[in-house]
Amino acid sequence: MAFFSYRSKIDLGVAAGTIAVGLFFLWQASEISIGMADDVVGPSAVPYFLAIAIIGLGLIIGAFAFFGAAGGSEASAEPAASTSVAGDAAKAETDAFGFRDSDLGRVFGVIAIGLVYIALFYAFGYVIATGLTLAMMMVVFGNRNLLVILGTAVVGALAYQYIFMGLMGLHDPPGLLFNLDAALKSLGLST
Amino acid sequence: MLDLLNGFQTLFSNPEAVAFVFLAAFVGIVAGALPGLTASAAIAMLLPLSFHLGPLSALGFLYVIGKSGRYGGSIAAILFNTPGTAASAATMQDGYPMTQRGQAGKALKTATVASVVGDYFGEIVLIFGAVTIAAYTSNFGPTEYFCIYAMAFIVIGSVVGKSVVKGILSTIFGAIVSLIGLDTFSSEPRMTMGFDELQDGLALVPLLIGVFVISEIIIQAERAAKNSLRDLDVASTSGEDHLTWAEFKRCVPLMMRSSVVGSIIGMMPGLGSSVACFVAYGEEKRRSKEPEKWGTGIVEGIAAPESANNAVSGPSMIPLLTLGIPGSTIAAILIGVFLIHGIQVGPTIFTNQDSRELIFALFAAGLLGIAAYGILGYFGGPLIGRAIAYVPPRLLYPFIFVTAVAAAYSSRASILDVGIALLFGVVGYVMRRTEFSPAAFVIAFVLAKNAEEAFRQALLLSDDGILIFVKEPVALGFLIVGVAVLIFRSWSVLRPRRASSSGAGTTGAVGSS
Repeated sequence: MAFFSYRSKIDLGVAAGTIAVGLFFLWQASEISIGMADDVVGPSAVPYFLAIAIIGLGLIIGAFAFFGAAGGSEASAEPAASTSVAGDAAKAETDAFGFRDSDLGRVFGVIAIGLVYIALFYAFGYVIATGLTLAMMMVVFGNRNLLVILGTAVVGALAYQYIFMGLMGLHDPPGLLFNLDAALKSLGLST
Repeated sequence: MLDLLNGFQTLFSNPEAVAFVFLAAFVGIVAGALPGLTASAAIAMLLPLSFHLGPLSALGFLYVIGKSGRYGGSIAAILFNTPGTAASAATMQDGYPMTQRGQAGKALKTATVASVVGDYFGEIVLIFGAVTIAAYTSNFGPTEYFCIYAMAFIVIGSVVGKSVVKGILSTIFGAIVSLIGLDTFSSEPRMTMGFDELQDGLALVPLLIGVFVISEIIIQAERAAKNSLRDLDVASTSGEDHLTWAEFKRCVPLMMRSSVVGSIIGMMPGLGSSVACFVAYGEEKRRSKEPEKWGTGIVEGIAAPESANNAVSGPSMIPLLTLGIPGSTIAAILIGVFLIHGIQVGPTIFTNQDSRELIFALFAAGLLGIAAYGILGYFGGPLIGRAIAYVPPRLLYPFIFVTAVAAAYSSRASILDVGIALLFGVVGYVMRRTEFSPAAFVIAFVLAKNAEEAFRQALLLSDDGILIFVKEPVALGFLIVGVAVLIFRSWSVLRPRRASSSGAGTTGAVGSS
């Protein structure tokens, strides 16, 4: 793989991912029932077309990455468009290319907390899930002061509960494992 | 003109709407000034709140956040050398050197004045342009509409990022994802993967929150370990550090020219504020008698990009109001708000009396919002900058995360939507790291269902199959514009690479293919 520059390696991965997504949607399009509508092309035509376009463009990215990589240095792999006004604008709008400088631990940390939030929401309801999530996110973002973390989590969770469930009147389902509202009522702390 | 006066009357007879315009001016400045948090992200998070408001309050609130958010980006650019939004990237070049020289106040006031001038110019173009263009587009049928959608996909995909192929792919990804759910013609479920919950399709709010907010939180989490404290002293300004009358007069012609540039760019789908600010900066530097001073910290270097990027705001609504096609992500989000309140965007919006009144009241809200953020920014910009410098990202972003998931949940009170926001957060993060365009993805997501509907309706009307799209001259014209932009953009991307490849004797990988 030393043959390929970093950009080419990423783009080959992008091409593979794109083709996989295209194949997935192609399979999904093939599952669409034609139906009875009085329609010339049917419900599956546009999804088919888009899925095939995804696969085709994925192949183009792969071909450019593969055939354009021979002897490519990192410097020459910089996008040429950045020399133009549109390139400056694109540069301002896009982030660093690739995952070389990524802190994957933190990336997975945020995603994992999101998944845990969903599980906590089901199990314990909104306010507990929000408090625990706030505390975990603060740790991921580098906070280490336990008092600050706990204080922020409790105050934050109560504030969000008041704004979203109280003021905005959103549906607040009880947790499947623990119903905080019922517990507070049984203790005489809620009406 | 009478419509606009009626619009002001409608606006001022609705105190809730006026209050939300002022709130939006403040929220937008703060959101724009926070490095990483864009106006689009702020609007995505606040979108569910707008469901609880009347149509004018909701639209005015989100529209003005878009305007003040563009301006707010200049505060971070000038004070911290970090563009709060991509639209203020050019402002950094002269803004931060002025801050380093102790002229932060002058730089901020220049940015405020230039933004207000540009925004008013763009808003006037919108008010007069939209009504005029809508008169021509009101006779379009599904054939023309499909070709307009196709042109928009191609143009947006081509110009929105570094890579033409990845830009086009971003639009196709957005389009195919939007088709998940029941088919409107046959009521057959499509690509639902067996989930009944997906029969209604994917909701816009969780998708927006994922692509714009969660992906940004992931990126900020990565940066959290590397962040250093900002120098708070640079955000302090002295009383004499202000824009002088002589400097203002010097900037007036430049601001007007840059506003014209921004307005023209704003009308083109996909070309946003970030393109406008660099074009205006480059053009004014070229015209300058002292181009060597640009980049060293001069007021002209702030006035040009700030006028241009804010002048984009109004005209970017013209494709939305005249054709129903959002030219920017903020316009794409506003489509959702229009639909929630039962208003069909497109040329008929000016023929229906109720919606016409609403639109002119929205224009009035925009004009009031510009004044509001101008006053807030002129007198409070340095203070807002200092306040932001004091709030560490390690405290801010956990709250943004919790707000984002609450907003995703609140759109349909569905925990599945939180999962969808998370999924698209990862998608958005990967897109941003691999030069795909989240903006093109979202715009295509909003447009694709209508495009497919127009395509199928046109074929139902046609005796010649797909030839109908080339037999209708107006429709063909739109397709030609799209293909021409695609060819020109591909050529402009590939040409310098070929030159550099032959010059260096190497062939680099093709990221911008």
